Amino acid sequence: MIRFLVRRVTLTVLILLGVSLVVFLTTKLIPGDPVATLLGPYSTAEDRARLVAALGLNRPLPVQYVSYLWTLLHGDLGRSIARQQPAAGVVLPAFANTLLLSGFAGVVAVAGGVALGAVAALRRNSVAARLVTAVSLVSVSAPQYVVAVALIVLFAVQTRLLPPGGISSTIGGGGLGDVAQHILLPGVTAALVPMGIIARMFRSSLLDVLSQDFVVALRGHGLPPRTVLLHVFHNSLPSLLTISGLQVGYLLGGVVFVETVFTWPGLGLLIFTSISERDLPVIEAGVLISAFAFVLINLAVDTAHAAIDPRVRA
Amino acid sequence: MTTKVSVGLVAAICLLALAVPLLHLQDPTVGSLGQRLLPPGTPGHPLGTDGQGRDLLSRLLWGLRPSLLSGLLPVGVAALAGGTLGLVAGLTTHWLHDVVMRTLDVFYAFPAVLLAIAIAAALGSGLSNAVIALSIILVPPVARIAETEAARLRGADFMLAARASGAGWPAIVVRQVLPNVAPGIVVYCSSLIGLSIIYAAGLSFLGLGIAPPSAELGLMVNDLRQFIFNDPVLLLEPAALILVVAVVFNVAGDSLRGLLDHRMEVS
Repeated sequence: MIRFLVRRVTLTVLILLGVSLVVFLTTKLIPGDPVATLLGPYSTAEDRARLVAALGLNRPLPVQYVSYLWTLLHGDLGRSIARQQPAAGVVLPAFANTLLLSGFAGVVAVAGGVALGAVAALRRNSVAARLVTAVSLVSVSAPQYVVAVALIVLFAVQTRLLPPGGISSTIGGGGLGDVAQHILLPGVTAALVPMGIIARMFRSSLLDVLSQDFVVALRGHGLPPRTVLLHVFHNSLPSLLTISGLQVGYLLGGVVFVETVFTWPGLGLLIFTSISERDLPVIEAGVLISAFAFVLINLAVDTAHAAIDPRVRA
Repeated sequence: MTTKVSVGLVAAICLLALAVPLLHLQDPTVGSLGQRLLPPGTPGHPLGTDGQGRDLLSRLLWGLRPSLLSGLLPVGVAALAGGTLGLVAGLTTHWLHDVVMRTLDVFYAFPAVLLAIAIAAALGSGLSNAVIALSIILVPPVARIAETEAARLRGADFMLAARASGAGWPAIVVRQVLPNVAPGIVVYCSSLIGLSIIYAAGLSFLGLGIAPPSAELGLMVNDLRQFIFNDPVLLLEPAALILVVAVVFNVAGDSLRGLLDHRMEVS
């Protein structure tokens, strides 16, 4: 297990380096001269040369990358152009809100996906199973911005049961119940796609385990169906864990649309507004943070998988 | 049954998109402010008008074209680029294999949607930039599939026989490898089209796709979003069209994939 961890952590560090390199290179490959943009149309060649030197843009690319890494390691994510303050101060609070939303959506997705998948696998030819297959198919195909507007029309416009957006009410808001009311619609919207995928995967993994010989043996032994089912669930746990972890990781990056439509003040909404403000440092910092989180979640999932299933440790 | 119906529907959608210029619809980019936000069923505007009085039926049909194009094109690019990368990695065993595969691992570390948004935002909005961004994020999964398919052939007897008979690598790749790996790659790519269409419309929803006043489905959803409280029906029209297109392409892709998997199990 320790050897597995050492190898996996080393790999993660290498991948994180690669991620930072990709983000660094996108800033270098953008068409247009950032210095000219910063200084405006009336700048002189002298001004530009001075700013290039001040920003260190005249140094060779590898040197620039190392100094970029160095500032990253000190928690410096660059400076927001639109807000004129460190990007970290803008990005991190938004990331916390995104974590809250995707955490909630993750719970909904796993609970719903497991229930749907189990029904589809255990009652294979029933109406319920067909319904589940259809629902999971549509939920996978439904773009989040489409589901989001449909839910707002249904629950916020037509019936006024739930708030159409934001994280808390402007007047007297901010309590736990208030936030819970606001998280319901965006959370369910974000959960739909991963729920459909988890349901499909869990269904096929259950069917796979059910067809194995040991299930026949357990039944032959005269074990009650409930106990047999317990063993079956236990055996499909590793694949459920992997797929759920991956999906929750995707949620972090995929909630951009949900946050935009529901004006949830997370990383996605921040990136959306930063796009129209051409605030590239914030976009990069946001992408970097979520890629890091995504990689770390994958590390956690792989570790948990290895802890449950000794076969993958080798 | 599902396959025939869904593939037929895909063909119908594509034909419809191709035939739009022949339908003599109203100009999708010109509206009249006196006819803003007319409800569906208005004479002359069967599906209503948008906030600038532009005919929604015309905008939906014209908007289908860039949506399909920016969804299909990246898959084609990814099939070629990812397929080539995957074949190179799969057929070689030395350092080239490791370089390609580890580089792809780095791209897997990004949530795909976010990477597409970052690239498109860095390149600037526009249809071609959205296509480039989507192509980049679709390359790694295609390359991985191609690598697996090609690696299966590495030690195959017919490959050895071809080499023993003196065939050069180009001939082996064209005659032996491609016929064996192409079906798998093509079918996998067809199952990516639905996703790619959703992402493409999503990019223009965020303002990173085709520029207004051109019609595009994702752009229309974002544009009509401001009228959600008073005229929700208008907003639901482009939303529903995206959903239908995505479901049709996904069902078709899935059932093609199912057919191939079945064939593989039998053989």
